[in-house]
Amino acid sequence: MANEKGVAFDNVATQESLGYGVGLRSCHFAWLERNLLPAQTGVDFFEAITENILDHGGYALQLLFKLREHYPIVLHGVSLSIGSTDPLNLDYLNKVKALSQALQPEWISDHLCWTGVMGVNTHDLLPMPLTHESLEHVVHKVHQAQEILGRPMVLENPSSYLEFAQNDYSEWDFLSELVKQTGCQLLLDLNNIYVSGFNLGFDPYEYLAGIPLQSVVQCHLAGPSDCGTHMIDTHDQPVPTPVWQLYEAFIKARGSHVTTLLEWDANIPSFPELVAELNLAKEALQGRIPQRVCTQDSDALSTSIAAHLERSHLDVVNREAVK
Amino acid sequence: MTKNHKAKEALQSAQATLQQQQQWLFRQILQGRPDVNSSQWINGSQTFPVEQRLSVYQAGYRLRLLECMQVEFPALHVYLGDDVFRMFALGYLQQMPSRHYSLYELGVHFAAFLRDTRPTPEQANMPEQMALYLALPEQLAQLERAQATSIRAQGQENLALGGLGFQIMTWPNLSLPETSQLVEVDFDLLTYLQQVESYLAQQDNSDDGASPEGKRSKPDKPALESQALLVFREHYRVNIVRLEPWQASIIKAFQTTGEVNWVAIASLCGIPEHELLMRLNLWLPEAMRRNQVSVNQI
Repeated sequence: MANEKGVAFDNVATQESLGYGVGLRSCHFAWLERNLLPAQTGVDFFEAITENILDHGGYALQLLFKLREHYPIVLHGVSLSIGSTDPLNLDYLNKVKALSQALQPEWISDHLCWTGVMGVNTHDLLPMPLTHESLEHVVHKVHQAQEILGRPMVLENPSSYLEFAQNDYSEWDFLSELVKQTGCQLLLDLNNIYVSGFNLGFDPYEYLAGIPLQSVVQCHLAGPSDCGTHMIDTHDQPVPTPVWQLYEAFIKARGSHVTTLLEWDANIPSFPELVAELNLAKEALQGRIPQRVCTQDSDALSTSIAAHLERSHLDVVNREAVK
Repeated sequence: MTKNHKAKEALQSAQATLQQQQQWLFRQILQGRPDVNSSQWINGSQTFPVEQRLSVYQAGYRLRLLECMQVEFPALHVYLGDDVFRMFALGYLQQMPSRHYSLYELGVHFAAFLRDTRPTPEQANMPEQMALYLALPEQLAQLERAQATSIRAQGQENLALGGLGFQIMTWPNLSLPETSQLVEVDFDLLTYLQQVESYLAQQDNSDDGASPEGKRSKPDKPALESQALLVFREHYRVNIVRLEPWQASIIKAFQTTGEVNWVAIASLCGIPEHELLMRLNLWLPEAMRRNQVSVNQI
């Protein structure tokens, strides 16, 4: 695949679906250690949060490499901050490159967003001003990141609670232009389209119609919370009916299956329960759309990230003093 | 604010550069209260006005990072309680906002922050015995941070570690694996961590709908007791072991200077040199097997 600059990459993400997968979360490590094989887990691939693995020399990294022997892995970042007016963090990017050379992920994704400025990281995926200047800026940054990584970036649409008054583009037009000018690929989060559509007042199906669907290599499904006046992207509950409907419409419009991942980041169920929810994606594509409403929660917190952290548990039997 | 000033701001937001727009939203999030001119920068609606839209990001920023701090410092959270922990954690984040791509770096300076903001006994105006406990939060934070560091540090699990198959006759060349860290405290934090672990496990079970019968109450505050605790990692499991003073002196020496003056250690601990060598022969094989220390060459 080549972009407008004519730069071609060897590591273009495959258009062939990897199937159905889930995010690797530390609360499932013990279960996965006992049930490592695809026949036991029931998933086709895993998505690992890039930042959870970078600089890691412990169990999480070891387990990921173990899983790599049996599954395709995709890396999903939250700190690239591709849209920030701060310069790209080259130390971070070079570490991602080194990790990808060792792990050989199918692709590396992050978000169309910025996470902070003036060197501060809010650890949130903040909405981009969608202006001509902004597009030019992000195009430049994507070229830079792709050059370092030696492969096309895969960028995800974020969930948004606000839009800038100065915007020149809709998000779908902005992403289309970005794909055209950089050759990047897309991770389409259908839950985020639903959440942003509700909050910003656009039609999610108009969004779908405006996206270059053949550039989508992966999609995300998740469950948001209904706060009455707005939706919050909480990733803490089952996928609601409107998101399943959007998923079905997306696959139909694209005309072929897409690598599908269920995201769950708070109140995470057991691994088998998670896979049962994931398997509903196959049902949805048969027209059997699960009937669910979002849980109402006026105090919902946008995507929790604490579940990404590993906690140590003291081994009580080993506490005696060394004599 | 004057009419002229408002008009100037309106004009500025209408022509704002990408950098200005990002810096404006960034300030809104970090300062945590809405700007009266917000509607000139972002769109709102009747049902979801601009102030409420901003508050999603403002509250999200604080609560999300606070949640991460609670995960990294669970015992400190239990010790201080929700309100006090929140006050310290948010004060810390305000003074030292994250500058790293990784959430794991979020708590790196928390113990130092607690130390630097600790009131003196005179300021706290409390009895001497109670004032001793003012140092407990920073020591607990240091211990929990050492555990978090050990989880992710480069370990030696994949290296073939040979045990000491023979008696050491001369002073050994020791080193500390990246996964090990000595933390010296003035309280019985080892017992306290275990009590918190059980308490939290019980709370998790009752959250899962298990019977609330026999539910533990919050652990009592730890007793005053000097402890030298070595955080280490064995087969990817982080653990803590309490060291004898002579062992702590050795580890402290090579943790701080990378070298051990064995003669000085023996003298400091009041042990004859030949006895220190004998104790090392008893201690090191087990400490090496459990990846607490490394012996580079004999």
